[in-house]
Amino acid sequence: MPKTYKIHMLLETLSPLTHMMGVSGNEALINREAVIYKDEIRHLPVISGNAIRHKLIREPGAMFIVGACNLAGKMNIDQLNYLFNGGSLVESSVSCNIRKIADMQATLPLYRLLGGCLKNQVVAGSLNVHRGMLICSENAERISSILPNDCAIDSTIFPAERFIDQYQYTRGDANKMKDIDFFAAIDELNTGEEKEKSHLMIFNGQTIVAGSMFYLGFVLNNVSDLELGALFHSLSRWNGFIGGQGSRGHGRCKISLIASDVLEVAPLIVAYKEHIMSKKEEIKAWLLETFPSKKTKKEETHAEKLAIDN
Amino acid sequence: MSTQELSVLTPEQFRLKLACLNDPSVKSEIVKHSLIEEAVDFVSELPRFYNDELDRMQLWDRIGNGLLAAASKTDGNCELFINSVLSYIKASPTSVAASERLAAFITNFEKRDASWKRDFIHQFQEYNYLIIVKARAAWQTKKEQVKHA
Repeated sequence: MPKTYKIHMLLETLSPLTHMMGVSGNEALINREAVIYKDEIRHLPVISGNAIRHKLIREPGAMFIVGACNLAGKMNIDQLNYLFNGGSLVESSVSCNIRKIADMQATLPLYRLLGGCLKNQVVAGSLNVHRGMLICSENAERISSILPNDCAIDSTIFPAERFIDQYQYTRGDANKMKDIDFFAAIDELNTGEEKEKSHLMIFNGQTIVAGSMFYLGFVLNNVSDLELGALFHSLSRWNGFIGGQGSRGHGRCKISLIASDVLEVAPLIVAYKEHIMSKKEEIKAWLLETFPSKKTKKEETHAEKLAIDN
Repeated sequence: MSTQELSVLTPEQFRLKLACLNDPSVKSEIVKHSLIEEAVDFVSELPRFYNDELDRMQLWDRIGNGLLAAASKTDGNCELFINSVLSYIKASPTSVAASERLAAFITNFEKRDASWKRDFIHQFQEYNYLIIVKARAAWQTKKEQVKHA
């Protein structure tokens, strides 16, 4: 029996978080959104719902399906786009896709949840993703209004600006290397132009400090246990990084489920995994039918033409 | 490839996790209100110990100054604070010893943690006038009750 679930989660930053919205000069600016707080507009750090949806759900979920169905190295770009990015409309005419959609919903619960684009039709998902709200005094009331009553947040926590810090890195210049003469061609180094040119790059930006916390929320509208399992399965396979500068250790996070009532997560995950393992062939067939390979079509046409010629 | 343990927090564990984000310099409205009420209750008892040798017209001036002076030098020590205020208004040891209300205040303050004591004393600097006004009103009510009794 389909049910609607509200899932509340806490995201803790274990290292500085750099979820950017743009740059000012050579300084990266963190993503913010305007919020009305005590009759004033405040710009508070936020993790976009888009990033949460992609990094925490779609990407790990798609990775699992590719691995389970042994699809690595065998997919065309349309299939990859659908699985990893939600696909895109590439055909203008809308044909009857009801059977295809029904097949997809039966075999791929994760994609019933997320929705996506078939080649000529947008299929709505059943998942609403909250924006990741920084737990700070300005957001306390808003977050408390979403959370169950027994999880209300005290407004005496620090304001948002206390959670913002700076970073600076330097990308070195090979010219300054010790024993540069040994590594570089001397005639390259001694030209006037090269001598004066500096390759040193200093770049900096804003971060959310390690130890900050964000509220994450999901609403699953009229879903089965398999879809709920798909969500938890993807969350449990997330690599723990979100935002930029991950190569330098930024964006390492930990998520926890805030449960006011008992929700058995493990059996839901197991049921979802078993479902995918039992539907491997149907998944492959659906992907091939919905997003047929262009190359194969061309080759077939060419082969057909040759057959006629002969 | 399971890379992220999906732990579950009960509402209590969630609130405990957020406790580390609390700004110690900010008190919630309820806490603030309760601290002021306790301060008013305490200060409205002080006129009973005001020494008769002192000018009665200066009663609230002297109490107010005594509170400020005590708050500035007692660094979160409630016992020292009470002692300092009583000295400032030259309370007689007999009246102090006879007061069950004062004994109750002292016992109550002893039970509180260090942060409460610090906040309690700090508010005499922060809300000095407010406390004096409310304490005087409370003292007047007490006097009326005694008259009618």
